[in-house]
Amino acid sequence: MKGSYLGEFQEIVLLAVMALQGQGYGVNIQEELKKRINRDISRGALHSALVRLDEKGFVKSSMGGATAVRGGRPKRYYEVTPSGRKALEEAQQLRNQFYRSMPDIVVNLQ
Amino acid sequence: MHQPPSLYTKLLKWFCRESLYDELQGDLEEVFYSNLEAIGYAHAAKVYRREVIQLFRPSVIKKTQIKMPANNLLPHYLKTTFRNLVSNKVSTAISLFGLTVGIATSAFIFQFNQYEESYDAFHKKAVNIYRIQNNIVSSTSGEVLSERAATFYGAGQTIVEEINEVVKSTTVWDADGIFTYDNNPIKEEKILYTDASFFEIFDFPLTTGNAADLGSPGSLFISESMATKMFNDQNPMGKIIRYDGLRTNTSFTLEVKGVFKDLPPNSSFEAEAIVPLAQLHNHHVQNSPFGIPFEQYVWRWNEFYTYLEIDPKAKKSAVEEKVNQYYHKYRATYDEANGRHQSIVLQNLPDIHLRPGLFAELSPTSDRDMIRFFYLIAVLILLIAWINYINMSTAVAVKRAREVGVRKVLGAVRKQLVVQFLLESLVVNVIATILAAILIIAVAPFSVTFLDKDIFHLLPQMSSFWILVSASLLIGSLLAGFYPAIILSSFRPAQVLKTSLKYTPQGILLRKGLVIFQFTIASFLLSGAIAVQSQLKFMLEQDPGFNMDRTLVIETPPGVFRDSTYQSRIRSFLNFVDSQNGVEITSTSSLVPGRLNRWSGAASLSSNPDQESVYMSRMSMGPNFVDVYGLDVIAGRNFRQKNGYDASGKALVNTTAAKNLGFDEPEQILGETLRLMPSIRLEVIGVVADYIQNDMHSAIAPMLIQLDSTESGYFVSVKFNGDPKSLLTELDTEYSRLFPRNPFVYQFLDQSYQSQYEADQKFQQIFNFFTSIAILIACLGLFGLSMFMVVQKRKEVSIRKVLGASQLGLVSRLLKEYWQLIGLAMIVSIPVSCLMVNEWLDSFAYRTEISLATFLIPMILLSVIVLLTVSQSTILLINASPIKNLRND
Repeated sequence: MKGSYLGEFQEIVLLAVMALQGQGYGVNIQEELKKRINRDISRGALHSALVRLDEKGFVKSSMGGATAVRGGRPKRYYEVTPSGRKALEEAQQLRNQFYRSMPDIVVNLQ
Repeated sequence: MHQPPSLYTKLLKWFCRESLYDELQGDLEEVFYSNLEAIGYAHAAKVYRREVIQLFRPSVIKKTQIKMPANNLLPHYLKTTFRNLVSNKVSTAISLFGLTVGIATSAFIFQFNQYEESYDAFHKKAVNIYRIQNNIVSSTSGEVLSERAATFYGAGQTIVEEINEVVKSTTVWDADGIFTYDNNPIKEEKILYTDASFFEIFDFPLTTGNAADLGSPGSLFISESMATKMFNDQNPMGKIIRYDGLRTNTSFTLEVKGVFKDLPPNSSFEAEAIVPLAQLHNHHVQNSPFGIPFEQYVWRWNEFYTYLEIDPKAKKSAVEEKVNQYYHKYRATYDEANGRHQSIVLQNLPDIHLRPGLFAELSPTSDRDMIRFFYLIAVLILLIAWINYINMSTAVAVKRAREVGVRKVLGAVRKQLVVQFLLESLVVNVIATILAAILIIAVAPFSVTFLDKDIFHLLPQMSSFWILVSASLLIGSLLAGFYPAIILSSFRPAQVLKTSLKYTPQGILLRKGLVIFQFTIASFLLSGAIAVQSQLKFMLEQDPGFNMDRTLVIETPPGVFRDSTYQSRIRSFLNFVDSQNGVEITSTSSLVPGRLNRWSGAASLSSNPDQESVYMSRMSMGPNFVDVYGLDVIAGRNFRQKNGYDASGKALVNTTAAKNLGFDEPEQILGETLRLMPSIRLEVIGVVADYIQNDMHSAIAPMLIQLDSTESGYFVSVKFNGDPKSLLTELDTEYSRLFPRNPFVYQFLDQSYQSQYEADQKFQQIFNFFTSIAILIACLGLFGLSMFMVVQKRKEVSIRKVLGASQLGLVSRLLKEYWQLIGLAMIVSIPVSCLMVNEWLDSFAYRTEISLATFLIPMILLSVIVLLTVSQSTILLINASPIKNLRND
């Protein structure tokens, strides 16, 4: 289980990749994360997470064609693999189990 | 067209794997260009640089083939390193101690400086935000009469309307007041009045509420901690609060419309509550305190901090020029009559905290010069520590000579030996850095109490700190390891194996040079410390021109609590005070020594309307004030009290004011009439000798004193004799009876006046501390040198002893060398410290002179310290039996 453990940050990155439906590459994943969790993630931190996810087989990537806007440099697109999807579901189930096992508490809403 | 910073692109290309370079650089470039559009070049480049630095991580860096020799010696080197460290316990301890303390101290100073420099830099648009610094300049002489942090009420609004490059502006006014909710009053010092743009320009996040509400009167925004303080865990939104403004002298009813996150400690704004500026505006439209319509004084009321957000593409100098033009347009009518004009400087937001000396600054400032000086000290201390390591490791070289010889015989080439010794240096530096980190963590809590701010609070966000620590670790290991490595690896095997070691004269010279350098720094810092000490003593002991002994100052209720019965109440309080046992004399006044004065005005002579007016600090006082404080009336007379007060329209001035108005002899100004805006006429009846109202950093201001005939002053000064304890309880009871809603606030004037020098005292303590550390480490270095000398001089001393030299003669001979080193160090350091000390002293309006002691004391002190440091090894040397030392060769 240890090899495929999904850390919190990796999980969020994986979710972002999934949300972008195969169109995710460095910049728009960063933007997606900024939009969702309002944190500035450096490209370096994102890269590390994507490499880890790739090593675990949760994402796969492919190079796009050359573009005109970014000095002709190609983009690398990321896509969630079926096992990545499964890992996300497992993570969610794990949490749900915990939540279910929590005692009822009085929530003081304001 | 702007490009991403090319240096960083190259850097990325250098360390990044080729297979990743295209996509990563492409991503960064894309972000850069979209940022360029949105937030301007400076910020986009900053983001780019940060992104490149943060890509420097194992998953991105090229896999380098480290060419390991077939027989990997690394583990072996590490093993011998630790063995050597353990076997030379004394020298290891000394170098580790020196390095640890040195690294910890300089890292600490560095973090302090970083913290000071981080003020206001956290706003995303910080580089594009400027504050208007309003200088008042004499048109005739060009002299800057006043440098003000605040400016006119109307400025911000006009400028944003008229100058295209200014995107937004916000106007801020600071106040204090009392908030009452549920009959529970809370006094709050940190209140800002501002407009809705405030939250748009600055990044102060709102927890709840809509920033736009700040535009409409009647709303109130409070900080999270204020919300907790006032409402505990109730929802603050929509709560109705009564606000008694002390600076506005009015009461408002406000509704909480928003809660903002507590402002970070490194913000130059301090606010627990924010009130709409419109509140103030409306109040002044309805009842103008100056008796003229509000529109007519929006360009005359200059107590407003005004911030402009400028288009990133605009040039600051161009905007500054335009702002100056508009100031001229709106102010010319008032200024020309007074022979002066407004000169505007746009201060970039992050620079505000490091620019001291502006009039009425929002929060305490630091000083860029001091920050730079601290950087210098940090570098010097680190240098001393590294030199120390060099000295220690070459001193133990004798013991290592055989090792080197054996290694060479067994086939080690010089390069391998250099690597080995550099690795040792790296290991020692790493250990020292870890110890330094532990030391810092241990000391950090004390630093919070001492500095009154938590400089490590923001450490996780400050990557520069860690970059610097690693850089200094690397540089330090190389720098400190290089020389010992070269020396040690240069030994010739035949020589070192056959006989004992001989040192080259150059080597000894260099080591002496390093010690001289260390002591130059040490004596430089010591001279500085003595100068700081004597200036502080000078400031505390210098006669300020008034008597502050046995003086009690009681604060009277602020204006908002004064109703029609106030005057009779304060009169009866004053009578009560006068009737007390032990009270000599009392007086009311609008100002007491040591307090900052906001009341000022430009005065000119009726008899000579063409002459330039003089900007004066103003105050009012009762006739007894002069006696309470023992002021000298050197010409004319004091205000009269017997047989009724002086008619209003009489004034006293101080000597400086008389002089600035053109009267060298104080008598000459008597009978002159002063004109002040709008239509005040005051006849000068007397001249008071200058006294130092505030600290000695700034010169005495010209002062205009009017009579407080209605006892409306904010302070009651009481001259007492004997023990004030029972007097205080009496006064407290009576005060609480007369002014039930106000706490009894008092100070002893000597204490509150001297507390102005707290920052200076703190500076002195910090300086002393760093100086002691520098001296301590330098001594360790000298100790290392003396240990080395023991080995070196063994034979010489033995022969002298055999030939009948006396012990005293030997001691003086040995010590002579150290004296020479110290002497040389002094010769180098004295001119430098003389220059620096003089410059520093010049920053004070009243300064002490550099005394001979500034340089004599370091000389004597260092000599004594040196004597103590080297005594042990010298005694060792002269007591050793000559036979032992001579037999071996």
